[in-house]
Parts: sequence; C-alpha cells; structure tokens
Amino acid sequence: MSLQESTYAKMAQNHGPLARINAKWLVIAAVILAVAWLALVPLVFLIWQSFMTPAAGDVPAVFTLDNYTKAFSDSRILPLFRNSVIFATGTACLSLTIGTLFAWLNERTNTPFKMLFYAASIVPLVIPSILFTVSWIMMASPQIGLFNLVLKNTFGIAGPVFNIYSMGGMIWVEGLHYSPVAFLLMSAAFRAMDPSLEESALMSGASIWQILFRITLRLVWPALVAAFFIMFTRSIESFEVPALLGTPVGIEVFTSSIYDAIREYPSNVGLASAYAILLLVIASFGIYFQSRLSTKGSKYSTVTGKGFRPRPFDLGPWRVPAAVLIVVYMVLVIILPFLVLLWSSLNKYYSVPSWSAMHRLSLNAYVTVINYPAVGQAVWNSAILAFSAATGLMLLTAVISWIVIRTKLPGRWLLDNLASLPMVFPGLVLGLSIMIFYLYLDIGVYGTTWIILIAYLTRFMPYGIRYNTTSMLQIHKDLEESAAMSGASWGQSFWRIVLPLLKPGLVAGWIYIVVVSIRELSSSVLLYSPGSEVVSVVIWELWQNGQYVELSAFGVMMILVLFTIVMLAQWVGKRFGVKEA
Amino acid sequence: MPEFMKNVQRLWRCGMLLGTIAAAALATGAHAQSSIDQIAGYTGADRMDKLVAAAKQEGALTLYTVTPVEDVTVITKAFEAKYGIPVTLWRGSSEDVLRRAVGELKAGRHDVDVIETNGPELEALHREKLLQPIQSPLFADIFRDAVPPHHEWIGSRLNIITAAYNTNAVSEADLPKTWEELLDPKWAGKLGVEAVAYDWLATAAGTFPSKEKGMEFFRKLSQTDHPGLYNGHPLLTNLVVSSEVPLGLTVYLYKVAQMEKDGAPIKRFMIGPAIARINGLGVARTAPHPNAAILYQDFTLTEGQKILAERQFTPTNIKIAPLPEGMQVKVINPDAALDNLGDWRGEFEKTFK
Repeated sequence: MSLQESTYAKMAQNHGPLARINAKWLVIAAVILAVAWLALVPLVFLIWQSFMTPAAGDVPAVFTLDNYTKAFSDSRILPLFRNSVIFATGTACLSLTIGTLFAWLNERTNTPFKMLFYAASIVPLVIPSILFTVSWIMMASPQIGLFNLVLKNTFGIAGPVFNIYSMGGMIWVEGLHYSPVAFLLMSAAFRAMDPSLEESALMSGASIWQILFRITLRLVWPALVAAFFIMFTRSIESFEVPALLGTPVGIEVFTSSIYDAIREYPSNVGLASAYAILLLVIASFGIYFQSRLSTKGSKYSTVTGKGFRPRPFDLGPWRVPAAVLIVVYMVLVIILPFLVLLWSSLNKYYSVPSWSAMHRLSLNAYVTVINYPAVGQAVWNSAILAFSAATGLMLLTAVISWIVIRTKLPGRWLLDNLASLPMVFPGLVLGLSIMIFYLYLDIGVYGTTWIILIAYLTRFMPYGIRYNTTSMLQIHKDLEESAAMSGASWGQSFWRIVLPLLKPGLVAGWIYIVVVSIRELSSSVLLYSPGSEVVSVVIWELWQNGQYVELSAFGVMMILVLFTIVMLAQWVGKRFGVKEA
Repeated sequence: MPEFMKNVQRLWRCGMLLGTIAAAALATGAHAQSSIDQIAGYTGADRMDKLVAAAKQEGALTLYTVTPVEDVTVITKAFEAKYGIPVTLWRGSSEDVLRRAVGELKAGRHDVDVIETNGPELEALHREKLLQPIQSPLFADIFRDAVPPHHEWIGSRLNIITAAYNTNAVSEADLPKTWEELLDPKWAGKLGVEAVAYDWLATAAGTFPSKEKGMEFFRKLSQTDHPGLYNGHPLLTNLVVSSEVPLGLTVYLYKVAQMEKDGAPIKRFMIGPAIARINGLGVARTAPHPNAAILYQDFTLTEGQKILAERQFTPTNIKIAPLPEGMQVKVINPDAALDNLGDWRGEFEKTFK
C-alpha cells in the first residue's frame, strides 16, 4: 500500500464521505448565518430608519420619504460630496503609493532595516487620530508649525511654506495615518508571490523598474484594488481629520452633514441614514468591481503546487537611495510625530520646544494616566476585545473568502457584499443600531463587554474579508485539490493547507484589526457600560477634558505596547506555518 | 379544521397570558410611580431624615453624567463617604447621555437613577417625559435662570463661555475693551471660534442693542478678521495655550482657570456679558433608587457646590458660592436652544463660513 492509499484508507475509516460533506456544509452554513446576523442588524436598521420621521416626546415616528427628498435636494450636498471625493481619492492614492512602495522595498528587496520597519510602520496607525492630527498642526501650521519656524529662522523665508489647514494638508495627514493599511495588505501580497516570473524577466534582461511595473504590480493587482477600495471608502466615512483641519478654513465634507443631522433634537437619524444609504450604494459598486476580479479564476495565483522560496531582489546601487527613503519616511511619519507626543507628554501644557521649556519637564502626566479612574479595567477590556475580535474575524472571514472564491454557490457575491457593507456605516449609526437592537432583544448582551465585541466584529468584518480575499486569490486551488485527492477532509485541508498558506494575509489583517479595535470610539462610546470601559473611551475622555498632555502620555504608552505586540505577532508568524526563506 | 381551531385557541390563550402579564407590569409601574411622586413631592420638616434613611435602605445609585470623570468622582466619593451609598458612574458626551438614557428608558431598561447633562439635553428628557418633578427647599437658593418652572431638573453649574488670550502672544494692554475694537485689522487671522458655538452666537448677538445689530457686527468681524473655526472647546483652548490661536473667543472659563493654575500662558478676559450654558441634573421617573437619587441631587446642590467651586467651576447655588464679582451672566435658554438649533446653526454658518 502506498502512502497515499494508506492515508486515504485511514481517512475513510475515521470519517466516511458523509461526515466529510456534513462538516463542510455545517461550517459554511454557520458562517453565512453569522455574517447575516452581524451585517443585517445595522443594515435593516439603517434602511428602516431612513424611511421614518424622528420621534420626540408624544410624536411617534411615522413612515416618510422626506429624508430622501431632503438628502437629494439639498443644494449644500453637492459641494460637500465633491470635497469628500477629492479627499478620499487623494488619500487613497497617497497611502497606496507609500504603502506599496515600502511594502515592496520591505518584502521583495534586500533593503536595510527590514524587521524594524515592519513594526515601526504600524506606529502612525496606533496613534489616536486626534493626536496624530494635532501633532501635525504643531509641525506644519502656518502660525506655530515647527517646519515653518525652522525655515523662517534658518533660511529667512518669511511666509509660511506649509499650511496644514488645506485640502492638501488633510490628504497628507489622513494618507500618512492610514498608509499602514495599504502597507500591511501589500506586504501580505508581496510575501505570497512566487518570484519565478520576476526571475525569468530578470534573466531576459529586464530592469528592476520594468519588472516592478510590468510583472510585480500586475500580479498583485487584486491587492492594489482592495487597498484602494479600503482607503477610499474609509476616508469617505472619516470625520476627524476633516473636522480638525478642514473646518477652520471652511472645507467641509459629506460626513459632516450626517453628524449635523444626528446632532439635532429630535435626533434626525432618518436623514443621517438616508445619507449613509448613498455611501452604501457607492461602496456596493466597489465591491462588485472587486468580485469580478475573483471570478477571473487563477489569473493571480502564484502559490501553486510547485515549491517556491521568495528570494529578495538585489537592489545593487539602489540600496543607498532606498535606505535614505526609508530613513526619511521613518523620521517624518514615525519618529517626528512620536517625538512631538513625547515632548508634550513631558510638559505641563503644550509649548513649542525650547531650552527654557526643558527644565519644566516632568513625568506627572504619566502618573495621572496610570491613576486615572478605571484605566486598568479599560486596558484589560480593550486587550481582550481586540484579541477576540481580530482572531474571530480572521477565521470567520477566511471561510467567507473561501466560499466567495472557491465555491460556485449561488449568491456568493451577495455574501461578499453583505460582509463588506459595514465599512461605510457611520460608526455612530452602527453603534446606535446595535444598542437599540439588543435593548429590545434582551438576551443579556446589553450592558456587557459582549455588545462591544459584536460592534467590533461587525465594524471590522469588511477588513478581514479584504485581507483574506487578497491572499486567497494568490493561492492556486490545485493545492487543495491535491489534499482532497490524498483523502483529506474539507476541514483538514482548510486547517492544514488553506490557513497556513493564507498566513501573510491572516497576520496582516490580524494586526490591523487589533489596532483599530483598540482605537474604535464612535460605537464604543455608546455601548460601553460601567465595568466594560475601553481604552478609546479613556482617550476621548482625556481629550474632552482638554487634558492634552495626559493624552499624549497615554499615546506614548500605547505606541510602545502595540509596537511590542506587532513585533511579537511578526515573530510568532515567522515561527509557525509555512517557513519563509 | 379542528387542528386549525386548536391553534387559534392556543394563540388566544397565549394572548390572554401576555395581556395579564402586561397588566400586572403596568400595575407595578403605576405603584412605583405613585411612590416616587410621594417622595419627590414631600416637603415636611423631616424630609432630609426620611430621604437619608430610605436611601441607605436602597443602598445603591447609578449616575449618567457629562461632568469630567476626575471632577465628578470627587463629588461621588464625598457622597459615598457621607452616606455609605456606592455610586455607579457612566460618562459620555451630552448627546451620548441623552441617547443612552432615552434608548434604555424607552426600551424598559431602568438602570439609571440620576442623569446629569447640559440644559438642552435635560430639556429634551423633560419633553420625553422621562424625568421626575421634585420639590426641594434648596431650589430657592439657586441662580434663577437655572431653575426651570417644571422642576424636573435643576442647574448645578454654569459653563461660562469666555474669551481668552495667550499671554506670550498678546499683551494685556492690547486687549480689546469693546466688541468694536476687535474690528481693528491687527486681529486678522488671530482669532478662533468654536465650530459649533451656534447657541453662543445667537445669545451673544442678543446682548447688543438689538439682535440684528449684533449679527451685523459678527458678520463684519468675520469679514475683517476671518476667525478660524475649531472643533471642540478642548482643541480651541489647547491651541490658545500653544499660541496657534492667539485669542480664542469661546472657551470655557473653568478650563482656562485650571490651565492658568498649572502655569499655562493663558488668561481669560471679558467683552460684554459672559454667556453661560447650564449644566444640571434630574432624577429618572422610573429610578430604581428614588430616595438615593433625590438625596444625590440635594447633595450636588449643597456640598457638591463647594467641591465644584474649588475645582474652578461656577456653581449655581449663589448662597454657597456667589458669582464672580462684577460678572454679568447671560444664560443660554435651554428651551429655546432646543427649538431653534437649526435656525441658530443657519445664522452661524451664514456669519462665519
């Protein structure tokens, strides 16, 4: 009996063909139910609310079409929408360029500082938006911006060169802040890419740049599209950067009309929902476009039955410019904002760095933060929530991606769409829908940490999908087929073949979800209860009280801790699963 | 057919059962309502003794609040120390407090005893009929504009909106003494206003000889000085401290005082009467601990006021802590704020955008 035959015999004995089919369909059914449960609650709420008038006091909510009439006839909307589209496109392009460039340098070349860079690149994402934006105000505002001061004092340039309060400034800050999203996604794609095509091109005399543009980037096309889509929809929905940098000079975006509607009394959730439906429609187009990529079969699959070892490119003389680029990026985007935070965390109030301010430095802010009410509880809760949300979601969405890409199940496009839609739900509306749903469906979830977990699972499911789908597209199905031929059950082949091969995407998505779960505020602030406080609520609290110094101290500690976690995740990822070269 | 009839019968019985349960629930609800009415309306001489005894029996209290957690915990700790009643705290923005309270109470979840938030949100809770009218002898001592006639909530502090300047960037001698002096072009590009201070603009314009004159002035101000709009008081205050905005027109007095005490280069100054938002607290009609809730409201209006004053807030019990000398205060009417928010926002946007 050959080895294969004996394995097959064993498999058949243990499970039998019927059990094999059952396990597979049970998992698929459970996953579909879970997705429907998570995604439909806010979606139905949103659609239902968009047809209702606001309820106040004795006046009950009634059916209406006014919300849509109002949303589409408001003359204010068009310019706002235009601003949003410019902002989102700019942000997506900037972060995609930065993210792709550095991911390529980091994964595919022999550039220096690789390991450190991967972890350090997450830092901008870790810094709470408010802090990241304010530290850029400190660096590039026309009045007190450090860059402008330096230019003025050293070169005597009178007028401010940089103005952060502009569309360009908004794109710059948001694009840098979220470039790690693109970086993580592109890194995963580059890592799982068989270099043999590139090597053949190299042998045929193509230059590095030719290879990059004509082979490498074309192979990771699905990842590029996914990253652009994520960044675009995310920035359309984003509120903080436009609020802090756009409002002072009158640049307003679409989301501000959503917030204005909710802020009214009685809270006009209906109008806000009608606006949000418009975002949903746009996002659906993006998802549809992406799903067409996944029907192209194995065009992008480079992970096949053939063994491969991703071998880094020798940049040759380009190593020096690459190193300079990396150092400049690290200084500009990672180290400087971190130093600005560190500086303000050691002060009693923010002041421009100077010698006279040096002797006022103290660690008081750190003491205040550590003794802050419920801060220990919040850190603990956030850690558990982030870990559970990230692990649960990456496993759940791995199955979803598998269903969408590998099966011919009718309506699988709908599943992808359903799971991706929460990306454009405004966080506040999402939180509200979950709050109201579990208040009325009293299954003991409301008021516990569970309801926050449900919110995170819903909110970040789309990211899990995109990270997993991108990686899944690169894996050729012949590997699973061989496993099946050798008698592995679906569960075995999924657990032992698909998941390990997905590892680059799984780890990158996991890191991303951990970080954004810890930062999530707009739903958390509605859903937390005494005892289930989370870190972002503490951050919000500090900011609301104007305790900028303590907030900076908190930010510094968060960066250090999450930096360590990312390093650890990297290390664990390297030790388990498929070995890398 | 008999099968069908059986099902109908079952459904009928089920409906009856549900009806009975609902009626029973309503009855207990009505009972609870009459008892909280009695407690809240009692004005006898032994009111305090009765409240304390019953509150200790209840032994717990849940507070939803908008007051910064470091400040409010000083008050709740003092309350716990005095009466031995532990306080569970939930903190959110004024809008979140309103959303959570309304959402929970309408869904029949009665966790909250006391709701502490801004005037307009409290007024919204009153309109939603979720607050309990209370008679307390203390109300006579409170700043007049902080006591709404329905007594469903009481103002406990004033959030005074003031102008403030960076002492390194602006010298005291240069400060404008009247609104008109702000039209001097030297202020161009140096002013900041909070981005949603709709109620401030409407009320500040009202302190001019006529509101039209006031709006006309602010339009002129906007044209000459182009004040920047900054989202949130914390941002504006911190930007004044960092000299990014040399002169902020709408920051909170208590925050300026707290930061000045820490040595930050910021000082308040007044142009015209101070504009104030009311912040107060009310007891939920369905409070699970009505005695403790009413006791806490009284506590906030007496001993709590001293704590607030020590922490640079402006309490409303003027018998305990009189307003700063010479300060004229114009309170933003919460009722009007609720009704006119849309119009006020329109005026604000027309003026500053």
